[in-house]
Parts: sequence; C-alpha cells; structure tokens
Amino acid sequence: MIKRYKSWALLCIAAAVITGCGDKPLFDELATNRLKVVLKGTFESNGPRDWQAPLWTATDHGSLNDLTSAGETTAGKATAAPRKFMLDIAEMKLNGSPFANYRHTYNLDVTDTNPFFNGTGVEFDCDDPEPKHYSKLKVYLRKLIFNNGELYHLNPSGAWEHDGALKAIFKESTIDGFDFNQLLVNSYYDSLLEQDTHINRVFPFSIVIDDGGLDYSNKDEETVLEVRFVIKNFVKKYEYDSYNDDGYHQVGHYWAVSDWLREMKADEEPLGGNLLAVARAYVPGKVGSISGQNTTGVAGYAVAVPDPKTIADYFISSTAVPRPPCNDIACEDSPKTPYLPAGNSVESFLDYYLKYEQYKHRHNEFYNFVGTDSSNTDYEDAWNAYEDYVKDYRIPPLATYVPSGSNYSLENVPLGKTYNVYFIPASIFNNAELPHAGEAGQLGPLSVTVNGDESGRDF
Amino acid sequence: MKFVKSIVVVVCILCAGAAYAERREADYFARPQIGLWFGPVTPVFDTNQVLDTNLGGGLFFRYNTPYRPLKMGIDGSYQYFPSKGVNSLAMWPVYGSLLYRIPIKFALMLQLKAGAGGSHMEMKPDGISQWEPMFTLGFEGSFPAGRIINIGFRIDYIYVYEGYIKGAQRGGHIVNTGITLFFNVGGK
Repeated sequence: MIKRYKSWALLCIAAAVITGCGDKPLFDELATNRLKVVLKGTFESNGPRDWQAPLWTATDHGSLNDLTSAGETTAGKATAAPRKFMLDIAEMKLNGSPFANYRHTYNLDVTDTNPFFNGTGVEFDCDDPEPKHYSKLKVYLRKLIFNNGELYHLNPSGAWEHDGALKAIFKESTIDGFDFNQLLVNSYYDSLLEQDTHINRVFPFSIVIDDGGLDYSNKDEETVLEVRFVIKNFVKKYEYDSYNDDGYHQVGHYWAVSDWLREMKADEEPLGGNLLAVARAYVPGKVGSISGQNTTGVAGYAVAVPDPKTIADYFISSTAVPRPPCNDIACEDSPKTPYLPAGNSVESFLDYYLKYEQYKHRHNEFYNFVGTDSSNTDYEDAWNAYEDYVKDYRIPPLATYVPSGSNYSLENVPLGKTYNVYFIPASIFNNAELPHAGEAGQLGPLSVTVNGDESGRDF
Repeated sequence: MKFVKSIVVVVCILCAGAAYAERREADYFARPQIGLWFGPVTPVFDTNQVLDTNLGGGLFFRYNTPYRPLKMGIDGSYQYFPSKGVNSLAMWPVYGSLLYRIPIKFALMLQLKAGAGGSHMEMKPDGISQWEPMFTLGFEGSFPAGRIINIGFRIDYIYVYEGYIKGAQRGGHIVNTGITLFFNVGGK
C-alpha cells in the first residue's frame, strides 16, 4: 500500500517539475499586441505638408463636363470642399494570413491636426501574426467617403438645379457624402477587359511592404507596421452622370482621390488604380533619423528609398506613355454616348443629335482600331503599354515636407540600412499631382547609412 | 411444519442476500474508476476578454485511499479556445487531485475536488508552446447506472498560474462544465 502512494506522489512531483518550463506570459500575450498597425493618410511618413487650399479649386478637369464648378452656384449650391473623410476597413491580412479581422470605422476631420493627416497616424486593432517574413499587406476596404457631395439635375428649361446632398451609408447609418470606394474596384483599363467583373482592386487592396518587408519577431517588444494611403493634398472633384426618376439628366459632384496616375475622362466612372499606398515596418528603439537643411530656396520634400534602389524605381518616367485617345481623328477608346436632353427647346435636341452624330463617327473610328487590326497594335497593345507604364508607380517608404530654409528630419528610419535621399520641389505636387522621375528641380541622391541620428544631410 | 421452516429459511436467505447486496452496492463507488467527460469550456474573468467559449473533453482515473470518502485522481483533457480575432489557445491540462465524497445519503454521489498539475499551452499564430502550472477546484455529481456505470456532471474551475514569468500580469481562468461517464473497475 505504501508503495502505491509513493507512485502517486512521484507522479505529482513530476507534473510539478514539468510545469516550470514556460517563459512567456501567454495570457498577457493574448491581451496585448507586439505588432501595431498605424494608418496614415499622407504621402509623407512624418512631418506632412498642410492641406493646400488651392487644391480644392484646381479641380475643373475632364470629369466635370456637364456642370462646371461655376455652374454649381448658379444651380443653387456649390459643392464645398470636404470636411470629413470616412474610412471603413473590414480586415487586413499579411501575405494572405489573417491577423487583423476587427472591422474598424474612422470618421476623420479633414484638418492638419487630425492624427490621420498630421503624420501621427491612427491605430488599427490587430493580433500578433506568426513570426516570419511578410512582403504584402492586404487591406479589405469597405468604404471610402468624403462628405460634401451634391446632386444636380437638368430641368425642362435646360438649367441645372440643385437636388440636395449625395448620400452614403456609413456605420450602418445614412450620412451626407459619397462612397468613392465603389469606383476604385476597377481601373478604366480593367473595365476594358473581358474579365473585369472578376477584378477587385480594393477588396482586398494589396499594398507592398517596402524597405525589406515586415520581419515580425515576438522577441521585439513592439513592431510598427506603418500603412500610408495618399489622401492628403491628393483629392479632386468629379462628376458622375445618370437619369433621375423623372427621366432628367442628373449629375453628382463628389470628392475622391486624384486621378493623376490613371486619368478619369468625361462621362467615365472607374477610378481604380488611383488609390496609392505604401507600407513599411520598424521596431521602435532600433531606429534612427536622417536630417538636414533645405538650402535650395524652394519648399520641397525629402524622400528616401532603400539602397540600391533609386528614385527611378519608384517614380515612373516623365516621358509619359499617353492614355489611348478618343477624338474625331483617332479613337482607340470606346466613345461615350451623349445624354438625352431634358429641355423642351429645339436647340437642346439639335445639340443632342449633333453629339450623337459625333458619337457615331467616333464609334466607326473605334471599330476600325479594334476590329480591323488583326495584330491589335492600335488597341490592345496601346492599352497594355499604357497600363504597363502606370502600374509601376510606387510611393517611397520615407518622405517628409520641408519648407524653404528649414530643417527636415526623416524619422523612425531602421538602423543599419543605407538609403538614397532625394529632394523634390513642392511645386511638382501642386494640382493634386505626384512627381515623375527626373523632373526639374530634383536633387540627389545622398547616400546615407543609418547608424543613429544622421544629421547634416543638406540639400 | 417443514414447509414453514423452509419459508423462514428462504426469507432469511433472501433478506441476508438483500442486505449483503446493499452493502456491496454502496461499495461500487469505492472501486477504482476510469471515465471521460465532454462539455463547454469557458474562459472567465479577464480571460473571457481574449478567448471564447468552446467544447472540450478529457479522461480521468480515480483510486481509493484508506480513508473511504477520499479518492485520488488524475485528469487529462484537451481544451481549444478560439477568439474574436485570429488568436487561439490549445490547452492540455494534466493534474492530480484529491476528491472528497460528501457524506450525504442521496441518490447522487457528490464530490468536492482540489488538484494541481501542469498544462501544456499552445498559442497560435504566435507559435508559443510551453508548460505552465495550474490549480483546480471542482464539484462533481453522479448517480450509478448499475454496478459499473456512473453518469454525472462536473464543474471545474482551472487557474493557470503565470506569476513566476517575468512581466506576467494575468493568469488563465477557465471553467469546465461537462457531462461525465465513468466506470467502476477492478476490486471485488
């Protein structure tokens, strides 16, 4: 009997000895995160440029062909600059592995002090992923909304009338605004493809984790994954066309990301491929900075890319491959049908029929380009060449704005890496545009190996 | 007269048999027992904020001590906890325990339980895998379904202790509830 109890006692002691092995507080690991996802709405990784007021007025481009900004006031109400940006993200994945499946909505003020736009960033809830290397982040975008969109229609007298604010659903409630995420699903190039219905550029929206990717380790106290969407100073006003319930031509004027990379022309809807983003990772405590003075005499941006890459690996050439045109001479793009007039005047109908004749002429031209060219050099190849050109645009992992004569500092730069630092004049960014490689005024590169706070890198 | 004697002898034998059988029946529960359980495993207190309820189950073995109401036991189970996010925790608790049978004459056998042991923990996707000490308090009830089979229920509170790990501010609080099926084995 004594022996039997000895066996039990030994078993209990063995169990107690075995239990001393753990060294990670699991329940604290479950309750806290080592990976922090920070979302920013800026081209800059820190120190962004303020919202530039002229950008809100420099928006009358090809999309607003039926009702101009000036005409809005006559119609009853101008489409004012947006004051709110609303973001609804379903989840994120790293290389296809789920790690952040907490839906999150953000209602952000379009100001220079809002964390999303001031370089600080807003956090997205996540769990810690498996410790390994990740090169891509997939963001499942549900909604991207700017408020202050307006609806107008053409009345029987041929004048535009204001109908009220555009509506969208955000956080399961109807709000004033326009969800332009729905237009980002396809680019215009995608819409020309047979498989366009199978393409979705925003669900998920795939973002390259630049500067070496994310090497996640649960030995580091904290790792930051910075995700930047280029929103600030990259916004334009657009117009969409439809008919209202009474059969009158109506247009909606709304705000969305700039179509600088893939131009939206009149009477088009797809805006996909114009939401630009970049992600990068760093471990706080294992970072330095690159700083210097801007002595160029003009305001600009300090931009750093990881060596051996150069700025030409990020910005596409300024020698543009043009978007295939559609005009009365050469139409390599499907022409858009004119809208029926609502007016009861003879002139409006004559105008419509004239436009319709032009449409038919262009359609015949388009048919010639598409239908008679067996090698497709005029249509398919032209569009493929255009897409190949624009799709290579990348946002640099590190950038900051620097006024003339001021000091700049690129913050949270991983230690031990070498960067090529460039100066880009701010004027290139005007009119909601981004720079091309090799444009006038660009300086650099300065090769900087970051071993701490690297100062004196003046331009 | 012979007939009457025979009846008296038969009645005595039957009564003695019934009395004997009753005593042996009460002893069945005192035999070594082996069984299994199955039911919800529920994180409680702050553990409930990071893990979700799921189903779990396990095996156990019980042995007598010289003091009849007291038994010794060993339990092993598998408990998997998902979460609202992507985290999950798989636990394999293995522990020894002492069980005290509440001396109440009742159709149900009621037992109190206290134990300690270790739990193998595997957290995903972090990939952390380790043993941790654990303690348990429990309450069990069962009724016999014949000489061998017992059917019952159990409610166990499990505390996974992490206080010895640097930086730990929490521990694991789990409640196991389940139905049990166990067998009286061995003995006479």
